[in-house]
Amino acid sequence: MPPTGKICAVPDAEPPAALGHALPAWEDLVSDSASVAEEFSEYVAARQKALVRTAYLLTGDHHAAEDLVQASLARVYLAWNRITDKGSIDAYVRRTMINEHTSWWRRAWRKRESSTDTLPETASQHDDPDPTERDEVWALVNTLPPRQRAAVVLRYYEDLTEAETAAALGCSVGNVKSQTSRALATLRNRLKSTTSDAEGSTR
Amino acid sequence: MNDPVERRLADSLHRHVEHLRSGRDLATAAIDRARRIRSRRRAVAAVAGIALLASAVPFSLNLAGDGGNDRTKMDYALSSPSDSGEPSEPEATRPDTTEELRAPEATEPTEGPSEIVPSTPEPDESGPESTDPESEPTGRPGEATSVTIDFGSLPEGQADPEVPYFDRDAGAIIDGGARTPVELNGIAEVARVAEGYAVQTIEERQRLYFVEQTGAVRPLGSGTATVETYAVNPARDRIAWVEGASGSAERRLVMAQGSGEVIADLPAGTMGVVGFLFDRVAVAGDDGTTPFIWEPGSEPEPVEGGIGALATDGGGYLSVVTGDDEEFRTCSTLLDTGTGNRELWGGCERAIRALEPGGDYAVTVDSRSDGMGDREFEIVDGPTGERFVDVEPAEATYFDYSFEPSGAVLIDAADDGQRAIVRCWPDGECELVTPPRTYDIDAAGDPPYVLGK
Repeated sequence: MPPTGKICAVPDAEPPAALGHALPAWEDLVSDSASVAEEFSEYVAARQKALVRTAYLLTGDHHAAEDLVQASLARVYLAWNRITDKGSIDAYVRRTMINEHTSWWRRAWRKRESSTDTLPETASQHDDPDPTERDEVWALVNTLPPRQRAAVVLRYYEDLTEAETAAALGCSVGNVKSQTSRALATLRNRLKSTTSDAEGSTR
Repeated sequence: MNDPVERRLADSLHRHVEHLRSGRDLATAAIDRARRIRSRRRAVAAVAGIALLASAVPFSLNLAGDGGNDRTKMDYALSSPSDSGEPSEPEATRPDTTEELRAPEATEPTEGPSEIVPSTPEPDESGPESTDPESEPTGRPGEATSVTIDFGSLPEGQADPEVPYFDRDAGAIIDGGARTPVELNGIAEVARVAEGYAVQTIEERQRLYFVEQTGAVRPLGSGTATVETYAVNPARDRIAWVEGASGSAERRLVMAQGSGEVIADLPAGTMGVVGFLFDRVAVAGDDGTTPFIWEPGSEPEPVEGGIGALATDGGGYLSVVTGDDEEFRTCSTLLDTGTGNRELWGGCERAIRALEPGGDYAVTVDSRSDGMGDREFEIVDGPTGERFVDVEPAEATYFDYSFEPSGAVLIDAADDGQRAIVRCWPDGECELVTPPRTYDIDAAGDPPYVLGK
């Protein structure tokens, strides 16, 4: 079924803190031009591997994951000086990645102009680092709608709390609980039917 | 975690990434992409300050008597202080005929600036969806007309574009009846200036050239330097650009005569050119720093409340970035620099992509657009932001926008494996201006046309 709108309500998360309003001098800005790029590059060097892994779990495709991280980091770079609490950059990047991925998914769906029981894929369901090992759970994760998938990845891979997951998704804790339980219910049902099919085929 | 399904899920997710590697330099790639986003957003409006003087390309010569082209801005403008298409007098204040529609006083910029909305009722979206030239135009303030653009159903326009464009097949800049051959590779931007054109090319890096009407080419600036952003003033006798590679300490902001003779320059840092405000240039960084306005002979003036800038109209209007909202959308506000930076309208859902010289109209897109191709856009009233035309998402993609003196907007568009320049008026009528040519949007090769300013 196509997505019917936003899953989450108006987000509760705090927006990034703004810069102070003291006007800078031209000389100060132009003499400090290299430091932003350096600071940003240091952050990326430290976090790139972790970000690509999360992006891979969101997209199911290595190349798409790197593209997603790159696109998200570009937005973060544009906002770098507005993020005064540099300790919250991970949260900012995570949120940007999820929003960006959701946008990609919606654009891909709109292009298909069809609604089927099987959700549209933005990546191969079989793009697996170890193609020789069939993982039914992973295959089923690839069929989840993007925000349910994001909730699952944040809770079960990144080990975020419900509150942290809500902040990343821009919705309430209650919505995180319901999205996660819905995703788990889907997984349980599909694992059960997959097991039944397998048992039936061996009879 | 006692639930076996939850454990299995966690195990599966961890197992699928434990051997994952990432060899790409994503930091450099992200910075380059960010700068292209800013550069592209600014370049679209960087020379929007050119008022295409009626004397340079006589408006009447381009009208073929087709009733559809016999238009002036008075046909659909609320008020038009410069109906003749000639630039307003410097320092003139716009007649305040839009008092009743003016946005309420904006609050101080905050972390998540509140939406600045017109005080009139929401526009009625029941206007006919039509690109049929026979249909009654209904676009009026408060009645946005919804249209879709489909090359197959657009009529062919009779009037040549009133801005120059580069025709790659012809290898020439087409400007009304004039045709200037150009032997440059990778042409990306064209702007009429002085007795020729400022042309930007992008191959391994961006460069800026002056092309005379004979086709003779000479580099602008130091010649070998990278020039990512530039703008031409409304009088077409000044060019401003920033030369030097991003991140380089030697980047310079340069103001020059239309011929390229340098008037003044100063260190640029991360700043890029946004556009002209009469004879002053607005510049902004790509990293959330304050924008500035500069005129040679004086110190650059910071624009209070801004942390970036998107576009100018060449006169007094400047669109500035004010922050992010809780959805991480970029918020912006249109300022009237001629009246002490009075805030006209703004918000977080839409961003200005182009302003009509004189400020009567603007093109807005989704604020999340990265400038690499839009699926929808709106034509709005410049002073108030009220929608005239809503070009709805369909199959077409829109890359660039440039206003003509008539108030129509030219759009560089791709649709169904082709690319062409389309003209749309603020009443919702649209037409093809150039013949569509084959273009593979996924291959992202050189487009057949480059829309100029």
